[in-house]
Amino acid sequence: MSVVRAVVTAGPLDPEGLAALVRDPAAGATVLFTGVVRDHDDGRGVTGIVYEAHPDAQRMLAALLAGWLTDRPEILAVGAEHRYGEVEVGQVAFCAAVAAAHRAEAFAACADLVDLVKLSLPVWKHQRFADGTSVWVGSV
Amino acid sequence: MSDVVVRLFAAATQAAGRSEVRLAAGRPLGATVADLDAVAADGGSGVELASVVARSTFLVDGARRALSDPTPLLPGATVDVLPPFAGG
Repeated sequence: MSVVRAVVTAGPLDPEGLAALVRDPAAGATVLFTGVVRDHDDGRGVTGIVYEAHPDAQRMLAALLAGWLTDRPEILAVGAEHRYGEVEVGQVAFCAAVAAAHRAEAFAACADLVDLVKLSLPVWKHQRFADGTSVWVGSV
Repeated sequence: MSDVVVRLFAAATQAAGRSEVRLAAGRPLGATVADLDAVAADGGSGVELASVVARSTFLVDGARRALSDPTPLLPGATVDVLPPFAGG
């Protein structure tokens, strides 16, 4: 059981590399989630997102993953990456991968992990709309 | 360094028009944060700092702290104002 990767970076993410990192001879299932910037939100056109991350976000992500793993002996490996700065429509802003012996537990764990990171990691998104306006999502 | 350093993020930075504010040490978190309303008066971005702060959580020197915690902030302490997270 290990955290193979916890990265908060301005550069492009590497979801396929992350999925390869969690692979394990004992793992019959690896689940990779990619969170992609989409071109719409709540019926409005979106042209891009600028993410801001707390300066300690990478360390916090590592601690979050390590804490999450202690309650999940069925998970063989876990990793996650989050971007900050400008992220274009179609680019990956967040990815998470888990490996487990069986698919049901891997699917469930990955979904739970994604929810946890979205809830707990101090990252914010400034969403730009096609009409020229922008908003800090969830803050006003 | 007799002040408390208050770091603002995301919507809080936008509302205040700056990312850092220095306030007097020696008072609890709630009283210190309440002083940010005065800062909002000269931020002038159209976003109310008070409404962002009301939805925020707080770190004192990296550890979560409730607004109701009566412990006085020490000189040199760093307070982080964290608006609701929106990662992913």
